[in-house]
Amino acid sequence: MNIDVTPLPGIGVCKDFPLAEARRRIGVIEHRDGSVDLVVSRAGDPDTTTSIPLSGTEIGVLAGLLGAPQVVQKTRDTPLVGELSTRQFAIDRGSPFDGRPLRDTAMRTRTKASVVAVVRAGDVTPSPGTDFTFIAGDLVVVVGTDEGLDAAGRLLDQG
Amino acid sequence: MNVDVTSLPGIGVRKEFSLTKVDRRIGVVDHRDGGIDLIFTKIGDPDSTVQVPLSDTEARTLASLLGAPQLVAQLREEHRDLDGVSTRSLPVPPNSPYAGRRLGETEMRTRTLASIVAVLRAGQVHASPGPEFGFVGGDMVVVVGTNAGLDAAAAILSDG
Repeated sequence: MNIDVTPLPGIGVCKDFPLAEARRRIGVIEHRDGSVDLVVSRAGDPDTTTSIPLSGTEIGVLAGLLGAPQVVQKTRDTPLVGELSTRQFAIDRGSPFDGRPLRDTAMRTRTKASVVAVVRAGDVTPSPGTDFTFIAGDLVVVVGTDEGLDAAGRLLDQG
Repeated sequence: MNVDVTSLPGIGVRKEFSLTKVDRRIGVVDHRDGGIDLIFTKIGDPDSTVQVPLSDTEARTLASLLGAPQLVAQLREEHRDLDGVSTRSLPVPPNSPYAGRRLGETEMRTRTLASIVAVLRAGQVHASPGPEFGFVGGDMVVVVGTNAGLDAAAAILSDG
């Protein structure tokens, strides 16, 4: 199975794949504002495309129905997002990592959170490597769970 | 939201709900003998019902495709002011060399500098997966990095 990614200029991106049995294609259109349509089409005949706009809650419920086929369960209304977020932490003067490289934090191993960028004097370094050396005043941008981000804050503060 | 659950004797169970943006109902039929159909219908017009049989892998893949955009949009919004930082969701196709292998084996961070921040599987978010996390075909991997890093990450996940 290959997932085809097709840019739709002015709209967003279509990601779909052919079904093995039904001579159909199925997938999603991701709109640029983050909204999502389910799309189903006949292979080779785009005129038959059915596009169904879904709300965030509806996506969560439908994904849950599709994902747990053998379990007759109470469907959770919980959204898919919210478990992951981004925070920025300052490297203060006298911080244990002032003047030390990113690798010394062992951030990923100790907190499971990811350092995705460092901002220094307004300049962004995306995806800093393990040899990136912190200096006081840096803002460290971290993505993780609430628990992981709390741990990341303590780690950068206290070593 | 109410999900209506209807027993279909000899077949399985239908679970469906009404949508808010359009006059449609959508859901699945879980077959007793395994397998799942996606179904959707226009409200008040039962003849319009479309029933699409899916394999387990296809159902899982569709669930992940559905779930990823919200998370990607949230992270993009949170990183709006960070020039050069991008987020994408990248599929692990069933024929990927990493389907059935552990995240750590991709050496993603070393090879691309990009970070895997979540994996979507079967409609569930696995946030901050560790190196021991095992990929299966149909997973959707949410990666944060530079555009070049994300291009490289996509190539690794599909081609090794």
